Amino acid sequence: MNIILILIPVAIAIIALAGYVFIWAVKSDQFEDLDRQGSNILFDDDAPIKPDDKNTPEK
Amino acid sequence: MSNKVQDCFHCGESIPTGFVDTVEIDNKARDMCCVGCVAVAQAIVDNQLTGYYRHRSEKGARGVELVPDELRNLQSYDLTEIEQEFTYQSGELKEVILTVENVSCAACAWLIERKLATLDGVEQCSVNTSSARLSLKWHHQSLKLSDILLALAQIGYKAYPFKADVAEQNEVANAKAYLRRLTIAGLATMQIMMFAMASYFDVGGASSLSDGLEEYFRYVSLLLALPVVFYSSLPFYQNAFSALLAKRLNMDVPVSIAILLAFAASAYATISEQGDVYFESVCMFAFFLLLGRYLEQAAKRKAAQSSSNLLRLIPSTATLIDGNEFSSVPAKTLKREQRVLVKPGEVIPCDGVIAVGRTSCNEAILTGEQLPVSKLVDDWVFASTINNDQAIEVIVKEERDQQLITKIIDLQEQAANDKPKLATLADTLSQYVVVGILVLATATYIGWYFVAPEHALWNALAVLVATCPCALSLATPSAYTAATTRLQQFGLLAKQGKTLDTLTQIDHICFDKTGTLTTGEFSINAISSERNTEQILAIIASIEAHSNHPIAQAFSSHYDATLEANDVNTVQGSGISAMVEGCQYFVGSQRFVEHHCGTSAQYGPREYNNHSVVIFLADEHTIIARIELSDQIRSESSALISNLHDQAIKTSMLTGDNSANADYVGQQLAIDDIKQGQSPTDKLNYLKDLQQQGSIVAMFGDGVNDAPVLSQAHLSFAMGTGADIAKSSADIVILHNDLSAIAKSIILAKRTKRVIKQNFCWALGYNLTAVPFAIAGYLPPYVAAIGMSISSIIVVSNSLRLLKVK
Repeated sequence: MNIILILIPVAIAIIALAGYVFIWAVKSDQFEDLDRQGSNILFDDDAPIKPDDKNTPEK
Repeated sequence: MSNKVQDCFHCGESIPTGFVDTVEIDNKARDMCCVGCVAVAQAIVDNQLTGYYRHRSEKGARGVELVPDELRNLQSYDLTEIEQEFTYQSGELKEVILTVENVSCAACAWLIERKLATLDGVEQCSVNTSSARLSLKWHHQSLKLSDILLALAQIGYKAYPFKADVAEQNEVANAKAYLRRLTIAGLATMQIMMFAMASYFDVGGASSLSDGLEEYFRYVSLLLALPVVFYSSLPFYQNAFSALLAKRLNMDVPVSIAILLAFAASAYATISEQGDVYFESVCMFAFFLLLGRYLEQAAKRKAAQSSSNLLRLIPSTATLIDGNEFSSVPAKTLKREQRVLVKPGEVIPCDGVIAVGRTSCNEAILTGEQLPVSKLVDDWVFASTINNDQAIEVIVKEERDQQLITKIIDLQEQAANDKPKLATLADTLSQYVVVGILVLATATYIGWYFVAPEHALWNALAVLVATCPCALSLATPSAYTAATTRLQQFGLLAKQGKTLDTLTQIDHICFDKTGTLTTGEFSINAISSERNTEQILAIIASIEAHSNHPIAQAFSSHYDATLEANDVNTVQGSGISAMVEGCQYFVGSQRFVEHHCGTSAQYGPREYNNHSVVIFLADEHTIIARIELSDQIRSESSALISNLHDQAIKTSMLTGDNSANADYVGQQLAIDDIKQGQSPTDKLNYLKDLQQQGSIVAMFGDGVNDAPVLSQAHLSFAMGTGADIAKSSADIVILHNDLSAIAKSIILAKRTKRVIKQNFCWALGYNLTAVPFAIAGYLPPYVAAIGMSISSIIVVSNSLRLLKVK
């Protein structure tokens, strides 16, 4: 059971780290717009698709 | 989706007959509904941003071509004095936050960011879709703000600087702080629960935990509870403290007592190695409460953002005449006796008298009445009213702080300070709860002190934990949060949840007339003619398209692009004449058309319904049609008024209008009391009288003239299209001008009150059941913790039912 004596401080350290990372995330406005970033990956940042691209989704 | 062929690809509206134009998007020709949409879609294609069309989840807004007036408006944002109001400097760069209309999905945000990134000088731009805001940093030297706004307009978005609501500025910082406190509490609570679980299973006495380990767990829990008690829970102590300073009791007082005492006693138990520890209860308690507060805060913040977005900062500029020089200056810098030029369609920048020219002014913003008032040389004109017909030169007579509109705003601010406050159910109840808890805990301590002194402290503590007002403190905020969310779905923007409580107590409602009970716009009542009415309306529409008189608006829906009016000639205050398809037509008052074509005998004597305006259409020989227009009563108004009367709520109408139309509207709607020709001060006095007689009064309004009354009323509603000051004075903004939402909101408010009462009953019931066990010393910590969580969850679930109120 002695291992617990060591593991618990380790766990607390990890929790402290998680808390710190979260506070940083709040500070850098990452929770300001939760709707948008999820779909951001869909947008391509390069030139428009080629004319022969057959996969153009229809709207 | 069979009608897809006829719908505009860009905005999804149906394409009017006769309009044919397409834009090639991703190699397919797409139909468009108007020149505006064509321009916007073409700009998107030219900028290679067609990804927008592939990924958008909603159709765009209808494209609108910028008219020269709007362009000039955009440019006036560049004036240094005006720009300083809403931008701030950071090093080389300027920063600004703008609100953008019609940002509906992530594709819009992408489109805007990509477009702005192509401009030289834009350093950073990001769009927040949930608040519809664009934050921007740019090099001021190389790029003007108006160019950025213009670039946005090209791709179909209108962006405005805005006045951040005071409420919003507070909420932003608050919401972030609550999120941090909540997370810290959550993380720590999880850990402490883990240790608590270990000791729960030891409860039976089968000592799986050696004694040393038990102590170790207690100390670790104590350590983890520290940030929860001394960081996360700070807002509770602050609120409780400021309430006590003001000699009041609120819900935060028992909350603070419970957290601090339970923590102190558990810490004492840990160090002195006796009794029970309640760290997990304390932390979970704090976590649940913070969760409730955070959600409430988030809802408030959303409302504050939406209402700030409505407060657009439109630059107020004036064209100053200095000898032969014309220069554009901010209106607030005008001095007495300066001379300014006001072109037709412009907002008059000052209170002054006309030196040159004759015109008519739309003074709706001050009086609420749409019909223009004619103005001659030496007549007074007022700041914020609109010059309709001709260019005039005005001599400034009052500086900004003495203007009529400033005086109304002052009156509104005074009224806001005297606004009566009503105590909410929760405030009243918390008084009893605090006293009850303290009495019970003390009684337990004293009782046990005589029976078995060694148990006294621990059993008193158990009472305190058992009566922890967790569910009780969640009862109101959770219900208000759910209800304001539902209200917003009805199209009502409530700035505070508390307003719902007031709504159930209202027994008298006052209405403004124009723009509130009526639409504030003229529309066609009746047409008498021997010819085809469709054709007549199309002819009038094509002529009236050249006029900016409020009556002209009534015909715009009949506009037919194939008919074109030439040789348009406006005779001020009487009518308008034009050539349409080779035929001369006259539209205007009876005297005007009689003067041109002779007689109007076939339409009888001048016997009008005096609540409407009558105009005629004539050609050179004869009168063709007689058209009756009036400021139409909103279709929902009458249902709303009779609904209110059914609920025994009295109604009054306070209007600046002195004409017969006011009487007509009042009688049509069967309003109890009609007051005509009221100035803002008269309205305010009427309302104060009612309040002194003990009525709880709500006010509906839309104009600047209503702002003082809106501030004074117990509860106030402003129309979404109303003046900024009306919206910022009001408690609730009616977003889509749909009055029928009011009846629904009253039902919702009543349901909310019922849900709050249910929540209270449940929370109190649970606490009262637990108390006898705690007093007797039979309430182990884990039962207290489980009971508290379950009753909190039940209360929150009950509140969530409000989201489904029809």
